[in-house]
Amino acid sequence: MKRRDIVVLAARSVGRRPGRAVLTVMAVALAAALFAALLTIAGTARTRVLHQLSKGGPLSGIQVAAAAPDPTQIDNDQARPGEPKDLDDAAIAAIRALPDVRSVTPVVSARILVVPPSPMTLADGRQVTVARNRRGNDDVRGGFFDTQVGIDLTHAADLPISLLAGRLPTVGVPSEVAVTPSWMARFGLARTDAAAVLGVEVELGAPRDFGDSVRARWTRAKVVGVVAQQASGGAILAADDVVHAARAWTLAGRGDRRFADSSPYSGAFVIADSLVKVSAVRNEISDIGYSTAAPENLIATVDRYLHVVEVVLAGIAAIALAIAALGVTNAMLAAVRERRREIGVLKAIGARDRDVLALILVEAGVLGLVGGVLGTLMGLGFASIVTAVVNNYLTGQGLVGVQADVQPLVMLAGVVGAGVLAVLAGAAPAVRAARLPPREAVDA
Amino acid sequence: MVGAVLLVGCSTKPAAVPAGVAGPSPTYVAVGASESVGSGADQPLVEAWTQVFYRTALPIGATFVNAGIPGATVADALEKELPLAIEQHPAVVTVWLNVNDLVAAVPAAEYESGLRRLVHALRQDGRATVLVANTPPLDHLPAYLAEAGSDFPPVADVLAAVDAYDAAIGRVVAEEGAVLVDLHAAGLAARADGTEAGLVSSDGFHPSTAGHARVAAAFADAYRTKP
Repeated sequence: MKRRDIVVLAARSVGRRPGRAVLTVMAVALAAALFAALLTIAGTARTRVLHQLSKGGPLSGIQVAAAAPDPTQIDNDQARPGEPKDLDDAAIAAIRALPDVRSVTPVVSARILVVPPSPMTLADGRQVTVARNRRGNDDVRGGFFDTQVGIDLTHAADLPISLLAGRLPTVGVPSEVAVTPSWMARFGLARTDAAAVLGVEVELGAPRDFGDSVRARWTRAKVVGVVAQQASGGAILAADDVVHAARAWTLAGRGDRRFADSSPYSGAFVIADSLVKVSAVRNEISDIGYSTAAPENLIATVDRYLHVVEVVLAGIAAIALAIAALGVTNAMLAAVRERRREIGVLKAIGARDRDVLALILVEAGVLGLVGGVLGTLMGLGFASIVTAVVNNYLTGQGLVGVQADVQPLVMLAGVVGAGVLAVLAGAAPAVRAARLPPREAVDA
Repeated sequence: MVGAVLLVGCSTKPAAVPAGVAGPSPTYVAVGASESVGSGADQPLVEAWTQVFYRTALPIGATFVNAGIPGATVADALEKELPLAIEQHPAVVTVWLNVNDLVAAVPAAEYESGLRRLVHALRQDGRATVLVANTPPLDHLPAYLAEAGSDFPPVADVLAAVDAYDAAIGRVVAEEGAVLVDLHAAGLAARADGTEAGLVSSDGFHPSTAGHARVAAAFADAYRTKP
């Protein structure tokens, strides 16, 4: 028999019993849906948990402090820094030159005087003022001191920064800043109010000690975003050149270091080539003379456990697929029984055993593939619904949202796996049909 | 367990930040005395006329340095404020220095000479817009009226001194290409509409919060309508 004839015959036999075909396809689809949904949800959860542990940054990220390492803290994930030590361009260059280092992003900070509007009108029309009786809120009448942190905004994706609302400042626009929940807390605002502070304009004064007075170099900025994490100990995030200018003004003053320490950079964020290289890179940075922190051990441990979860879920899905395969076997056995005469006629007119085998296998494979495609799409849809529900809950709590981690490999495995499993499930009925003697089949 | 795991806080990773178009970012320097640092206002950091001018008349990208020193005369400004001002390479400068010179009885000619040198230097060969305020009316100030009959000069002498100073300011502004901020006319207008008293702070001398706002508005109007 020609291949085309086999396919046509298989399709006709599927159509001859539409009810049984639909039920068989649905069984396979449900199993494939379970497979796709469980693995997608598990993958999304894994990504999110690791993302949270790394505070939004790359998993192989390392925070470098402007401080010497504490010898008693070397192996700790969150090592307590030792004595302050200037972190300058030479140190950054030395770290950048280390093997297994993918990137280094310095962070600069400056002490500034913040003067918000009083009252401050939020985007939703509410008016708020600086909460009294809160430590630090009454530093200066009409304003308060805080720390402004500057980063290279072109490398923002490499940093442990994630947004609650809005966006990061635009490169080349010095009059934009992002703020943190701690800044909002000064006004008695919660994380859920993040969107409301967007558009607020504040005045920022870099102080300089002139000996007989303190004068400020004032700039104005609009709040364009709220970041979820504390910005390296500061409440306001801006472009690094803006903060450098503020520091330069302050450091030109005389007297004590009330407003700025001597270190050109307050820290740096290093990305190692991979998670397994983090420990080695941390040791090398410690040898250069700086304290580091990275949740490498915690991430590795959690990653292992999450992998176990994924394996278990895949096992559950495999059981479901096996059950569906039994359904395919049962359906094909019934089909073979009903078509003994047809099979006998085919053999009588010249069909070989392997043609009959191929006929049954193609029929099973078609049912499996159709079920696999339907089920994978259903599984994706279900995973998307679950993700949306979780996302709404998180954003309602003032946390950053989640996105479904759709893995093409899982989708492909769902479709192809269902097809292959159906073919395997149809093997026994196919062999039985192939071995039917023509005369016995015709006499049935 | 998976559901519980998903309830951990989540984040939206910021997208790549596009390069923006930098707007105008002039530097503004205030040269002056106690009024310029906000004396008399309830919250000087917020309500000083220099701060209000910076906030309302200049674009958001502007930078502001207040070089003002309480009690400064023109001579003090030349010595202590001018170097800081020039260091900032300002595009906009405000100058309000007259009352302390009057109180110190600096002769009008000497005042004019010092003011001319100050404004000339601040103009930076025409690169900066310099707004110079003249003397507001002083004869109705409660602080002055409280001293009536003491060693303070009589009203006629005060008015003559103010006129002489304002004439000097007018000449300096015209010759140096600066912009006049007519606080004297603004003060007389407030007197005419009955709001003068509310523009003076409780110390009887410095502008009140409302007074600072009025001064800022005068500077802003002059800046916007400058030739």
